[in-house]
Amino acid sequence: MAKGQERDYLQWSVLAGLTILAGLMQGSLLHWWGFLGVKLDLVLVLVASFTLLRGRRDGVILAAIGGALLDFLSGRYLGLHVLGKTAVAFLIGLVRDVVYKENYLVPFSATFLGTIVDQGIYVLVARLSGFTIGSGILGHVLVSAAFFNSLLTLCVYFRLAALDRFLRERDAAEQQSS
Amino acid sequence: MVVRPPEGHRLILYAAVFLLLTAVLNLTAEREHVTALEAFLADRLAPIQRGLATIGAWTVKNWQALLEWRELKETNEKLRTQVELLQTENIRLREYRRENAWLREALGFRQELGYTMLPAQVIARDPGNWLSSIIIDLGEEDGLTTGMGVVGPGGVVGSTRSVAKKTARVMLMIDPSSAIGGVSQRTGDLVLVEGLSESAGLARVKPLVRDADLKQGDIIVTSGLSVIFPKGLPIGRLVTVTPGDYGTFAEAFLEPTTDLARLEYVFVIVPPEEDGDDG
Repeated sequence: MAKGQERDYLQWSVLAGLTILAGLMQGSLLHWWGFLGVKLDLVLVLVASFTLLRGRRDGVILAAIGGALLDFLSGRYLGLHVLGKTAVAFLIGLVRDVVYKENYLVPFSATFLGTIVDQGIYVLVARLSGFTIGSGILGHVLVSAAFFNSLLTLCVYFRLAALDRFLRERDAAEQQSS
Repeated sequence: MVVRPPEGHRLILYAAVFLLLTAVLNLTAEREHVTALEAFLADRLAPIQRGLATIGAWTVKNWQALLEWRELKETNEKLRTQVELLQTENIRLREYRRENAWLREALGFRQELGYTMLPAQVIARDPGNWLSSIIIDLGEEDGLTTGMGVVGPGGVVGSTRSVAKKTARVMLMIDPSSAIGGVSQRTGDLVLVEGLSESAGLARVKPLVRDADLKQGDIIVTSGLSVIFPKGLPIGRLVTVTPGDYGTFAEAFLEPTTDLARLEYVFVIVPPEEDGDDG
């Protein structure tokens, strides 16, 4: 394996590993810590953060990995989480280059709007399948989930940025030494 | 050399993938069987999920115990008194059961014997906010099939949907696609209990008889009209009943008697062997 490919492989192992761990935690550990009846979406938080940090292509790939895992764990609509998460990564990726990513408001707003898009797609498909979801609960869940996911993003975004920087710098140093 | 398609072509590619996914979604909405890949992943991930679920439950329990230690002593005293009262009541109920069994036999009722309860641990839940399902650590290898009733400490929990070798997905009674036949314990009116969503935590109650008499606080129990649940298992308590025009029934909502958000262990009801006649 070429040196560059090996480094890329390591970076992707870390990012994909984090996403898979987030997906597993979301289905098992996190339901004990619901806020106002809604669950935190760790995969979405990672997807929104890494799309801002690494760009649309990487964000969409991570979204596909995380979304597929959630779909398998859910056992219902195959591809629904993939659809929602990749749509979020795609949209954040479109505006990524025109926003100042170091500002706290940017990851907060990206996750807030991303959650609304992701949950909106979920509800739309569920409703098309004939499921009844009341308007009152719909508004409550959308706003609460968006708010708590955004708060979580604020807590982890700059740590993820540091991790991303560390991985890139490590690769750059290895590249120089070789 | 890798040839990158132009931006316009990439957008078309994204749109095509989107449409393909939408088509797959429509085909996989409600399934009784999981795909081989899903079953493989579910079985392989089960130990990790079981570990994470145990950690979560342990942490929450101990954290709450730490926060509530002042109340524990007082609660303990109250519970001791309550246990003594319940023991007395239990003796009385045993006597009623014996009497009831004798009466049933005398009236020629079919006995609800032969139901086996399999204990199972809840190892994961649906990761989303809308659909309500749990994953348990029993599967085909333990004799589970689709459509088996699942109960918890307080009563009805749901029923099994897709079953892998070592795990099974249980659709909770508050899932939007769930419907269970029930009966009001007070009046005997037949009702249908339909799920709303995980976040609502409630189920909608629709009467199956005209001029149904339902009141806030009424207990709804299983009707026993299906073989999934035996008759008389608690489903929930009516929390709101909205009367319609001219005194007719409009809408009612039920809160499950089992705390579905805090399930750790459940029991799967294995129905009695088919003996040719309908339950």
